Formats: sequence, C-alpha cells, structure tokens
Amino acid sequence: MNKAYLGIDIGSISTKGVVIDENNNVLASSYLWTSGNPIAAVKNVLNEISQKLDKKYTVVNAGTTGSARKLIGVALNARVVKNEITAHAVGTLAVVPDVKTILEIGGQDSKIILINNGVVIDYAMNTLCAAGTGSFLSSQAKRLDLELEDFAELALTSENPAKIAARCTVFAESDLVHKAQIGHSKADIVAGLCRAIVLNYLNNVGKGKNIKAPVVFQGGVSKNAAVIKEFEKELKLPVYVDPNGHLMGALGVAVLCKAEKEETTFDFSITDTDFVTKGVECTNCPNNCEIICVYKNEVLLDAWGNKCEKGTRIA
Amino acid sequence: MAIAEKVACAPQIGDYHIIADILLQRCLNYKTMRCPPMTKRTLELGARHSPDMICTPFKTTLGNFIEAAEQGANVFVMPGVGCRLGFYDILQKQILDDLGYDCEMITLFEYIPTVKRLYASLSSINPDLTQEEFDSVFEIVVKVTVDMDNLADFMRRNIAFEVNKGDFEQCYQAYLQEVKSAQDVTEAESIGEKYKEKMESIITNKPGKPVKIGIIGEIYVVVEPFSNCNMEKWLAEHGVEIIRSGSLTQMAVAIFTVDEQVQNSGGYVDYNIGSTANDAIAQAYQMIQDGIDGIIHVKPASCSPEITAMTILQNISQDSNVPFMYMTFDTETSEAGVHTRLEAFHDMIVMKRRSENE
Repeated sequence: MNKAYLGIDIGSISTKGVVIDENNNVLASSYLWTSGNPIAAVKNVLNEISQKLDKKYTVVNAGTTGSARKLIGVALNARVVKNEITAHAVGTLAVVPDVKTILEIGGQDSKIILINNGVVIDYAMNTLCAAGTGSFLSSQAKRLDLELEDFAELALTSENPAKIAARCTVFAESDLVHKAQIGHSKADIVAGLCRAIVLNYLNNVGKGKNIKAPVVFQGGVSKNAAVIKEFEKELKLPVYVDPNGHLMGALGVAVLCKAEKEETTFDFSITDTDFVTKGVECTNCPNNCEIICVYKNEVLLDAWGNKCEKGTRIA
Repeated sequence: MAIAEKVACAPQIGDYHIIADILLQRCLNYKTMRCPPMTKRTLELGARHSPDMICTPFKTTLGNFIEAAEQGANVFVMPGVGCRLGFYDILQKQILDDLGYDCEMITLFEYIPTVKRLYASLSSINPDLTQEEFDSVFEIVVKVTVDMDNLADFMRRNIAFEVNKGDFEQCYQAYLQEVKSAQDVTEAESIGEKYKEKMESIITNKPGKPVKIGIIGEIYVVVEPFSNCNMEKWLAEHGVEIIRSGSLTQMAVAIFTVDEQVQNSGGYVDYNIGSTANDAIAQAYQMIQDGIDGIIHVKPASCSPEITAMTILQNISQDSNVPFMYMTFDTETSEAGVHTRLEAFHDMIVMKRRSENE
C-alpha cells in the first residue's frame, strides 16, 4: 500500500484540495469556488481528487484549514484542523525550504509570515479592516466593468499609475471615482489600484517587519502580475510566485497530517453522505450565541458556538 | 413630586465590581447596584448611541449604563482621569440625558488622580462621610485590589496546569465572595492570606519550561474578558503560562512612576510619551529580560496611547527577536478570528522552541 495524505483548504472564496505522497509530491489537486456553500464545494473537490488519484494510493489521514476548517473538519472526521497561517507556512516551506518572507493576500484577509532557518519567527494578519485584500480588487474591477483576469494585463500597460489613497477601502473607492471623473485613463487607474493594494499591505500588515529575500507571494491576488511588479518595485527584492501558490494552505495541512502518529483511512465515499448544517440562535440570554449544529445523515454530529452551558440544550 | 431613590452603578471592568461595591456602598448614602453582565446586547446598545469613531470602552461602558438604567440605576460612576477616558463621563452623561434617563454622573477624580481628590468627590455627594471613615474604607479598597491582583496573577501563571479543572477559578471567586464583606483592613488581609495559601496548595502539573506568553496593552481591553474575546481562557486551555501586565494595582502605580518607566525601558523611550504608553513599553522590555516567548499587545480601536507605544514595541521586537502580535478590538463578537490568530501565534512559539531544542 502506498500512503497518501489529504489536505483541504476551505477559504471564503475558493476551496482547494491536495493529496501528497510521503515525499511531499503532489499526486492530485483541485481548486474550485466555494460559492457560499463549503460542504458542497468540498464534495466537488473530493470527487475531482478521487478521479485524479492513482488507485494504488490510500489516503491515511486528512486535514483541514481555512475559515471553514472546523465545519469541514467535523464532517470529514479530519485528524488535523489547523489555522491558515501555520498551514501556509508549513506548505510553503515544503516547496521553498529557504523562504524568509511569505506575503499572502487572500479574498478576505492578508498576512505576512517571517521565517528564519525554516521556523516561523513572526507573523501578522490584518485585523478589523479588509482594505488591501482580494475582495477589494474584485469589487473595483466590477465598478470599472473589467474582468478580474484582464485587470493585471491592463495595469501593466500603464506608464503613469494614478495615485490612489490606499489607507482605507472606502476612501480608495471615492478617490478612484474622482480620478476617473477628472480624466485619468482606465489603465492608469487600474495600475494605481494595484499599487495602492501593495502600499496598503506594506503599511498595515507589513508595518515594522523586516522583509528579507527569498520572498514568496501567494493567495488569490498573487495571480495578478501587476501586483507582483509593484511589490518588487517597492521592496527592491525579487518576488517569487509558485505556480501551485494557491495550494500552499492545503499542502501545509497535508504535510502536518504526515507527522501524525495515528492514522485513519479516509473514505472518499463520504461525498455520498448527506450533511446538513443549521444555525440556531440561543435565546437564553441577550448574548444570543449563534450555535451551529452539524447533522450527518440526519444524526447530530456536533454543535458549537455557545459561550456558556445554557446553550447546550438547544442543540 | 416624589424624588426617585438614588441607585448608583459603576461599569463592568473584569472582576473590579468588587472594588466598586466596597467603595460605593460604604462611602455613599445611595443604594448601589451592579450593571447586568455584559452581553452582545450591551455592546449593541452602547455602539448605537456612541460616536462611531470613539474608543471601544466608551461604547461598552455606555451600554452598561443604559442596561443598568433600565433596571433602575440613576447615578453612574466614572473615573474621569487618564486619556480620552477622562472625558467619557461628560459625554456619557449628555447621551444618557438625551435618551431621557434622568440621571446623575459621579466623576471620581476629575483629572487629578489623588486620594484627596477622591475623598472630595465622594464627600461632596455624601456630606456625612468623615475623613476617618473614608480612610478606613480606602485602606480596605487598596488591600483588596492588591490582593485580588496578586491572586489573579498567580492564577494566570498556573491555571493552564491545574490537575482538577476549575480549582483556580473556584478559589478566586470564593475569595472575591468572602472579601467583599470584610469590615476592616485586618479582616481583608487575613482573608487574602487564607486564599493565597489555598491557591498555592492547588495541585498542578506545571512543566519545567512552559510556553510563556505576555499580555500588555490598554487596561480595559486587557482586563475585561468580554472585550478581548476571552483570550486568556484560550491561552490557558492550550497550556500557556500567562504573564499579564495590566491591573488596577499596576495602573495606580504607573500613574506615579512615569520617570521610572522611562528609565526602565532599555533606552527605547527618552521622555514621557503620554498616558499608558510608557508603561506598556517598560513592561514589555521587562518581560523580555525575564525570558518571555512572545507578547500579545491588545488595544481598542483608535486608542492613541497604545498606537504610540506600538511603533516602539516594533523596534523592541526586532532587536530582541521576541515575536509580538498586535490585536485591535472593536465591537465585533466573533471569537473565530481571534482564535485563529492565537493558535498561529502559539504554533509559531512551539515550533520555534522545538527547533531551538534540536
């Protein structure tokens, strides 16, 4: 039997799955939109992976990361449920062992991870504010009537990026409208936005951090060549984007699964199982805790979200 | 027209309602009540009636007052000293008036943080309060504050390792329950000693070198678990020894020791940079000297003293190679994001330790 390990990264925008062998080689992977339904997305990812995976491999452990890691972790009975920061660091180290800085801009959040000799020594993640994340770029693309895919290409044609206030999404948007109305070209505005996102990131998440090469950039926004260019210009360092950059989180949990002592064979037939989730608001005190109940084939599997004992009865 | 009975209430700040109870019940000729425990509703009420950009403690304490007013409180108590905190009372009184609550606001210090000032404020409301009576109450207040802070410090350093879950919390709550009716400082002291012994005899299985994480920052968010999404609880559940800077005792000391703080900041601060920023820096520097693994700096959104401190803390972090994590709290109640960051911070320290041992 050849052992394999499954990692699933369920983000707000996309769901990623990867299966690796004992030498961290990617055997199969899948990358699909979450579309607001993490359970359905995971089922699709698993279907795709099970078709791609050579039958001589047996998945002996599964792990989850990303914002729906807990929900999916319970549903799949995952052995590892890990936060996305640790997962990304572990995954990236498996691919670029000498990495010193990881820049990550995802759909809803952005983070920076500093690494020395293969060990995470510092990290930061945006709090409160979602400026400088992927959803900002995609909403502005919509406003300018552009496909996100064409965004970078157009930005790269600009020789004179418009200056756009980067501190806050709301201000950036008014600034953008203003620049458009006074006559800046679309290319310059789009280039300005790519620059704004980089400056915002470096000022907020990267503030006070000592960014050293090799720098790896990942997350959805790393697919944008214009943003990469702006990062290189600002940091005066080469910025590396791995073609599998979007899989790093999933890869990271898969690697963590490998380190587990115990094993549970993962059964892909779980995609035929019926999972239902229900959000209930506890009414026993004004905290109104949101309790999430997960049912597998109509049997309650787990429930969480209550801050005190009063809520346990509800589930 | 009948005059409504006066019912005084202080906002919720961690477990310090004990202190408020002792001080107000014994120094005022008013009835006192505790504000209802903080919930999401408190936060929503407070935020709805506050200026949006104001610091978070303003919103939560206003929420406390509104909920207390609904249950009959009509006299509210605020310190009236410090950073913007010094002006909370004036604005909150205005907002409560506008909402139609006929209420009174007691400002304990009015910008001058001295015992004399405290007596003046209280005796202006209760003219029967003699200096001697006040002194004896104040003595108890000081003793209980110091004792409860010491007990809680000890608890935070050991709670992660208790063998019977709940021992520490139970012991601490029993102390608070018993000490609040202490009649004089001698009694308060002996209760304190009794519980110190009790707490020290709780069985733990603390490893030789546990992961040590420090917490520093703005006192309200540090002290009030509802406002920091129960950070300490998460850390304790994950086997961390917590060293917290931030208590009423420490704040009281800090007010009068700014020069020492500047001196004890390892040369990172040359002069008084205002409010609690000096203390945050001095405390962080000290924690690093004592061998901390990582420090979490917490603040409410838009807290200017702590924002000042952060820039200097970043230098300290780089020079010492001790990771800092900065957390800003506002009116969000989801713990998920906080737990994600705590877990990553903890993972990082554990992995770093492991590689150092190899």
